[in-house]
Amino acid sequence: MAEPSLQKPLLSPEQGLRRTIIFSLVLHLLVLALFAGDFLPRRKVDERPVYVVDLLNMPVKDPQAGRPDAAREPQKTPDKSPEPAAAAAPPPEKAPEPVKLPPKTPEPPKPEPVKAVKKPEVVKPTPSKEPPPKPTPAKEAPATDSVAARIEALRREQERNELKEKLATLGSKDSRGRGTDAPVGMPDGKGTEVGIEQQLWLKEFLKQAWALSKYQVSRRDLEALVVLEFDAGGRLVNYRFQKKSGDDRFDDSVRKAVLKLNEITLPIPPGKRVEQEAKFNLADLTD
Amino acid sequence: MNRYFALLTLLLTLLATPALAQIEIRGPGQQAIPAALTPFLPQEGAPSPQVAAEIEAVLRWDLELSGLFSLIDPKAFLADAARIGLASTQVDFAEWQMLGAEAVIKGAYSVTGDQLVLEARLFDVVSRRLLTGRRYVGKVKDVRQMAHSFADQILLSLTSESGPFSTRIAYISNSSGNKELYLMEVDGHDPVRLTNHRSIVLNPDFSGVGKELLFTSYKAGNPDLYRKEIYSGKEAKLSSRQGLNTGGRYSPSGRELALTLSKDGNSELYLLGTDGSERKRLTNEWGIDVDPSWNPAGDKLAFVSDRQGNPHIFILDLVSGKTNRLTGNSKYNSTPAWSPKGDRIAFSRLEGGSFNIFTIRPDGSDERQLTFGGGNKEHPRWSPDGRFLVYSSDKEGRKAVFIMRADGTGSVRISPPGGDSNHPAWSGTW
Repeated sequence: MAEPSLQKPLLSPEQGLRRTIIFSLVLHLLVLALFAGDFLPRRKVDERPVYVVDLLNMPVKDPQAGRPDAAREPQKTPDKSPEPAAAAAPPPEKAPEPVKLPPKTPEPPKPEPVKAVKKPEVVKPTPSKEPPPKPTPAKEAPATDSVAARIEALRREQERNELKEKLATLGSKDSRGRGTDAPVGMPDGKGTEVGIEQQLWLKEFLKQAWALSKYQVSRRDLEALVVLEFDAGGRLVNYRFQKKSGDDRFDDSVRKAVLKLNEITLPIPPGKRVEQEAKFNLADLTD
Repeated sequence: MNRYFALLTLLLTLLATPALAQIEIRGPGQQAIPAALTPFLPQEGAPSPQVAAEIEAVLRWDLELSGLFSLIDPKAFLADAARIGLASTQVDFAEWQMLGAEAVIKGAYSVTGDQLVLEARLFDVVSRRLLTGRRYVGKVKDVRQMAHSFADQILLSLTSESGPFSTRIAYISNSSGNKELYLMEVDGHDPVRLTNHRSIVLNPDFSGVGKELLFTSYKAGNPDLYRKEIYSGKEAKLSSRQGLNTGGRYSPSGRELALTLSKDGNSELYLLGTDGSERKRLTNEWGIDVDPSWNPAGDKLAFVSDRQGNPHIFILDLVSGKTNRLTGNSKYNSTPAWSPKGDRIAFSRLEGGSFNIFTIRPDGSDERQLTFGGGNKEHPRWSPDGRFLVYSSDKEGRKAVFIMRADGTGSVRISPPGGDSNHPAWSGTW
């Protein structure tokens, strides 16, 4: 006796194919709409140039701290006018002294006293981070016979500044040919990467955390594949061996290296649960 | 239904945990295990600084020679090092983790009269568990042996193969005025003279299955082969045939021995029973055949022969009787020693006016020079686990016995000063 379901009329092949195509098209459009449209929240890319500087294979969380050109930028202004910067350095107790200078106007104008007369507020406790006063107050010197000397002084200062700039440029063009706008850190960096390079950081961390003596293993073709699972905050929440090497010592050393991730979080929280595959082998182990 | 299933699949695909690209770590950043060897503390009875110092010194020497560890400077130790922690619950692993240690060795001792009880532990810092532990009971004078034994245990725990530190090394020294047979610990301590032949003793070899030694002595005027039991001190002449009776080597089974005899006028290899009876002549060439060394299976012998001109290493297959030359274009090769794992043969080679130690695979491939620099390095012999080589060298002036890892690193002199020391032989499991 035939079952009732078999009694139902079946779709013809053409109808089934048409339905499948339509269904597939709808699904593709749906996926396209989800990603192309504004339905999904988009993550804004913060283009702060922060890189990993892989010196001695150590992961560096704040590589810009040692960047020479980055460090030089905020010091550009003080470089151009060292004297005012030095004048701003003394503690506030000495500040009133320049105020006494106005009676001495007949004397040849000097940048520091004149500046001090012009803007005594420069000697407030916080001026060290502010741009130092420019020597332009010299224009206000009352003696007309000092104008020529002042112009000459300005000209000499301009020449000195130009020379300093040239020296700085020469200094920045070292043997590695690094320019001020050259990417620092990643060899293939473009200067617009977000944060540090997470995978390189993780790779270097695992490498440093991995301790295995060549005297513990007799083979060099060992390899293990581990899947690391991080939560949104960058904490290791799980790991599993996708492939073991077959050598207990090797696998145990890998496991210990992975467990050291419990002591840290990823420098850039991924913002969602992510998995990372890590392959461990002895390709670079020397005999 | 299918529609819902398809939608569910799509949803799961979208929500699945995203996987990042694979990263590859092509080797460990730390090629030695960072370990802390803490001071051994008194548990019961009066403290004995000498005992504690001896334990630490022995363990440190053994562990450093192993090449497995980078021992953390004790100056960096924190409070936990001053506490007896024989159980994992008593150890402050966070402290050791902070110091970067992956392994911690802790222990305690009790001295009562001349009795010593030693408790030693090895902990895994990362997994916070006990890896191995031992309790030794004995005399205070056995403290070095206890420490060596625990060093072996540490290696067993971390490599699945016990260390050789509890074994002994025999050697020949003329410190008494004559060349006599001596026995010492692996680190050179406690040398003991075994013979008093007042003649020339040379070329010792251990029995693989017992605490027994073979050696050649001119005691009776002829270079005869002797056998000596180490503990009983009993000695017997095994072969005193006319001419040379030298280079005796026990087979791995201990049921026979190979040696060189020149009773027929030429130096040839023979097989003798342990009672000294001749079983078989192994070689029959016009050149001299000396220094036999068994492979672990006991079916092949490496030896030196000048049958093709210069002294070279040959391999004799005892089953087929075929002989193959092992060493290539060099001029002078001698004293082969087959590794206990069977994978390499160590030998010394004369090049540039001095001998150096080399190893080679039994098929003639992968030859490696292990020693360099001035002085002669000769008579290499393997440790029973194949991790180390012992050899003699005159690089410091007088001949002395040195030990090094099988890759040529970590060379250190072990024989005591005074006289010349050479011809070392490493015992089996003690």
